[in-house]
Order: sequence, then structure tokens, then C-alpha cells
Amino acid sequence: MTQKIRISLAEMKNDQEGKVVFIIGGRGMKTRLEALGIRRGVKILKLSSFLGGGPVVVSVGTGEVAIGYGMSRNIIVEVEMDESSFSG
Amino acid sequence: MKVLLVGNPNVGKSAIFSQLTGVKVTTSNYPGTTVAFTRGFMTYQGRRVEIIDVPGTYHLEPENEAEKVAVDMIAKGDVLINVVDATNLERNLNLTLQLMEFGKPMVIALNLWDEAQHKGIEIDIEKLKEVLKIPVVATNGLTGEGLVQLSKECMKARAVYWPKLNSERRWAKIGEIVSQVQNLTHRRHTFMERIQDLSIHPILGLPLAAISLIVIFKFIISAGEILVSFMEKVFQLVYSPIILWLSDVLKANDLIHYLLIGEVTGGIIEYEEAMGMLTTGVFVAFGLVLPYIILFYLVLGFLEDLGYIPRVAIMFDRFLHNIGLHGYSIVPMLLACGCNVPGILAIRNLETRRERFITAIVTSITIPCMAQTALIIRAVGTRGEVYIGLVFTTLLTVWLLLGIILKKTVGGNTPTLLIEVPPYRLPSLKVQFKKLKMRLSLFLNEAIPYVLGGILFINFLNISGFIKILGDLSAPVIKGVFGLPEETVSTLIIGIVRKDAAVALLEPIGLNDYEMVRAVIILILYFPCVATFTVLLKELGIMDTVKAVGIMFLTTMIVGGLLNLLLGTVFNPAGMIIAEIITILFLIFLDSNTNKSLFEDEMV
Repeated sequence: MTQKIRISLAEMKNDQEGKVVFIIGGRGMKTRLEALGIRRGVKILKLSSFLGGGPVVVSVGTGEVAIGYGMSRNIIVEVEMDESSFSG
Repeated sequence: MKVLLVGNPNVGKSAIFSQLTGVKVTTSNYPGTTVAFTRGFMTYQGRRVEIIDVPGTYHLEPENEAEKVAVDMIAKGDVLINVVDATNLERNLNLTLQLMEFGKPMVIALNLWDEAQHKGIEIDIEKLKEVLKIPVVATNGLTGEGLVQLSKECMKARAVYWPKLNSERRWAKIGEIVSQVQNLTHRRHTFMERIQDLSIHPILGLPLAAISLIVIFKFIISAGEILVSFMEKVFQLVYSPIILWLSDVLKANDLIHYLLIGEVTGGIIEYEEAMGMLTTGVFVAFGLVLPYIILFYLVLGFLEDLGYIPRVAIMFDRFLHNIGLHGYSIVPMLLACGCNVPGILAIRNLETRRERFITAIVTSITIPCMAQTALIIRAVGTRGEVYIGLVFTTLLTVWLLLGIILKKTVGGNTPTLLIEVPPYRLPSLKVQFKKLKMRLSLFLNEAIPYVLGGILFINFLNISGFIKILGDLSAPVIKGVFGLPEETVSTLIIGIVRKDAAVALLEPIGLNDYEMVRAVIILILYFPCVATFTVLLKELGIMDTVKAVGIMFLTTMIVGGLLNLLLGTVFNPAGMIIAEIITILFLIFLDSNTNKSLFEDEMV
């Protein structure tokens, strides 16, 4: 059994895939993200993140984008979680 | 007729531009290489066509200077060539559709076509033409493939009609187009992609970057030493006979001999001490500095075209938050290590005034250019490696302290890092060679007149006795605060013209080890060279430049005074380095602890 939950991009695990459901922020930020292919409804794969508030690198479409930590907390994604991961 | 090359950053506009016009421009594998527009001409069937390389932009709602330039230009063009990265079709089409709304004649250059096919991305060009109703040509900017066809289409392009869409409907349309024309096939990870993943690996990436930087630095230094000693031999063998002959001819006229050749005793020329325009001047530029410049730009050019620079920005992002910046500010700083002028010009890619101000200040104060670095290493390195370490840890400490102070005091905000990570591309030798040639000729045009003129100027000041007056006037600061002999005044003056020449002129003064270290550090900090100052003025405006100069002056007084007070009395050189490293670590620790609001000032 899997269940869908919503977390921020910052909270995603590396190599985890998710769908962007919404972006918290003003128009400027949305436009910038959109221009790099990150917008509501797209699938993204988190490639890596740096400890202590470093940037998050994601794969989106056919390219890769690095997003600062502050912004990554405002990108909300829907990920699938195994039931089993809740039990522990 | 005016043709504009428009497209996202890092899609190869500049490569296409130099193929079409023959004008040399810098190309790199990272966004933001072109900061101002470049103009060139091409002749097509007897017609002279103006071609303009517009800075890359992702959309038409400008956020930084480079993007503003782009949007202003587009309105003025007759024909648009939209350069599209075939490996990132979906994202690129966002700009394409916005450009089509202008209703101007337009052609699409589907660039990086070969790379897309290698990546398993198939694009149906015929279908794309049909859907957009504009000409589409597959191109390769490096080889020039498809460019004849592109120019032909350009000449007969007609105005396009495309409805204005809001962002949501535009993306829906893009999705629809992409699903019709693009076909992805999966394939195995290539070797390049494995290195790519490794170089931004959260744990291995940073040590890898540190190790590569140290290896690169060591390489430049040791290869530079070999080249310099080779140049010394060349000078003694080939150049000395000419100068000695000239010296004989000129003997009659003392002043001209003094200015051109300087002191020659016993038929041997000591190039670093003679102080003549044709001896010390020529030798500093060609013999001492040029070898290091060549090596630095060889390495930088390779890293740029490979695509490593954005990865450095990602790696240093967290660290740069300590001084109120984000990762992309590392790009101007890296460029400044070669020469401060392109470094300061690159601040245009930063979005806010605060970022531009902080970056410009810490860069122009604490980052010595390669010409300076080469001579510093020569001047203090011969007295012991520990002194090289001392100079650079001191600079790093000043960089961090100054940055932290500016972060706390300069108003405004710093947006988050948001950067496209380009794939690694093997640099083409031809492009590398062109780029190196361009940068070297820039350096030579800039350096030779200033170094020669600077030495001439100093000799005049010497003869006229003006140096003595200045020396007496500034003695309280030079002697009292910095603890340096009066003779260093002339080098500080020449430092305004050209820093490398100034460092070279410190050698004959006969300073002791500690004085040398202080003099070198003061020379780096107190004022940028004339060329850098000019671009600072242009990029920051008068008010901010005045502030910058004030900050430079204060920093120099404090750092020079402290070094005079502490070095040799409280600390020996090694002790000083350790004290500085502890300060750096303490500041970073303090910052990450007290600054809970680290990300609160980010623009959201």
C-alpha cells in the first residue's frame, strides 16, 4: 500500500521522485522557477542536497536545476510513501 | 537590417554569433557569459546585415541588468533568431512563445542538435515548423553546421502571428507541442554523467572541489616558475645584446638612458632592478606576468567550457551565505582571480543592489589578479613558503570579516540561488585556443602601456623630487601606522596604475621579510588599479564608488596597522596564520549559530 503525502522539496530524500503541487511565493519567484521548468504539475527527481542549508539539485524534464535552500522549502511536492515507512 | 540572436542563457548564442560574423566573443558552458550585447556584421548576397548577440534570458520579465538589456533590445530588432537548446526543448519554448508575441519575423535555430541526439532526444523538426508556423533549422554553433541555411531563412522570414497567452495557458500549449514533436529514448548513464553526479555529490563534491583547486593552484605556480626561468634565459640570450647595444648608443644622453634602460653595470642587466622602461618594464610584463596569465586562462577556459563553474557556485552557496551572498557570486570572484575588470563586469548577472555592492567590494579589495598573484608569490615566496600562506590567509580573513560587516550593514535582500546545471561538455580545442588568444590580447593591450607608462611616470617623479615630498607627507601613515620605509611610497603610487608593476618594484627596496608581507598586503587592499576603478565607477555609480573607496581606505589602515602591531611581536608568521584560521572558523561557527534567520532575508 502506498499513500500520497505533501512535503517541501527540502524535506524530500535524495533520489526520491515527486510532483510539484504548489509553490509558496510571489509572482517573481514563480516566474523564475517556471522559466527553469519548475511549475505546478511537473515531476521532479531530487538528486542531491547539501548539509546545513546548502542548495538542492533536482532533475526536471531533460535538465538539472540547483535551488537555494530557502526557496526549496517553499516548493511543495507530493510524494508516494510506503505504508511500511509509517509503521516505524 | 538588424538581426537579433535571442535565447535562454547557455544555449550557444555567442558561438553562433562568432560563426556568423567572425567577431570574437567569449563563450562558456555556464549561464551569463555575455553581459552586454555584442554587435557584428555579416554580408549576405551583397547586403550588409547587422547581427546582435543579446544576453541570455529565460523570460521577458527582466530581473537583472543583463535581462533588462535583452528585453530593451528585442523591441528594436527587425528579425529575431531564437536560439533554442534542443536538449531542453520544453523550457526553451517558454521564451520562444513569448518572443512570437512580438509579431516580428522570426527563425528558430535548434542548437546543440548533436548533443540532443546523443542524449536520446528525438525532435521532429518538420512537425515543429508546422505547429509554430515559423522556419526551424538544426544548427551546431561550434562547427557552423546549418548556419548557411539559417541565414537564408533569416532573409526571407516573415512576421509571425501568435496569440498572447497567460502563463498557465502558455505552459499548456508548450506541453501540447512537446508531446507532438519530441520523443525520448532511455539509455545508459555515460561516463561524463557519472563524473557529473560525483562533482556535485553532497559529501564527495566539496573535497573534490578543494583538491582540484589546490592541484590547479600548484600546477599554475610550478609550471609558471618553469616558464619564467625559461623567459629569463630568453631575455638574457636574445634581448640583452640589443639593450646593451642601445645602452652604448645612448650613453651620451643620461636622462633618456635612465628612463629607457635604467642602471646597467658591468655589461649585465638585472631586469628586476634596472628600473628602465625597456628593461624592467618589458621584463615584468612579458617575462614575469605573461607566463602565469597564460596558465591561468588555460585552466579557467577549460573549466568554463567543461561546465564546472555552476557546480562551484552550488558548492560554495552555503559558505557565501555567511557574507550575505549566494553561490552565483563566486563567478565574478573566480574571474577576478584572472583580472579584476571582467570580475567586476560580471556582477551585472547578480539581481539585487546589495549583492552587487558586497560582491564588488570584497572582490576589488581582497582578490588579487593573476598578474599580482604571480609577483607576490615571487616576492614573498623566495623568503619562505610560510609567507605565501600568510598573505593568502590574511586576505581570506579580510574577505570574510569585511563580508560579514557588509552583510550586517548593507540594506536590501539577497535572493536564493537558482541556477541551471549544464551537462559536462568536452571543451573543443579550437574554441579554447580562440578564447585564450582573445584574453591574452586583452591583457597585453591593457598591461603593456600601463606597465611601461607607470615606470616612466615613477622615474619622472623620482627625478623631479616629487617622490621625496610625497614621502615626507605620507611618512606618518607609511612609517607610523604600517611600519614601512619611505621608499615604499613610490610603489604605492604606481600601484594605482598597475599593481603587478608595483609589486615588482618592491624587490629592489630591500625590505625585511615582515615589511615585505605588510607592503604586499597593503598594496592589494588599499586601492584597485585604474582599470578596475573605472569599471567599478561604471557598475556601481558615483555614490557607491565613494563608499567603496572609503571602505578600502579604512580596511587598509586597520589591516596594515594590525599586521604592524602583531606580526613579529605577538605572533611569528606561522602563529599568525593559525590565529587567522581560528578567527575564520570562529566567525563561521558564530554566524551559523547566531544567525537563525539565515534564510529569512531571502526574497520569496
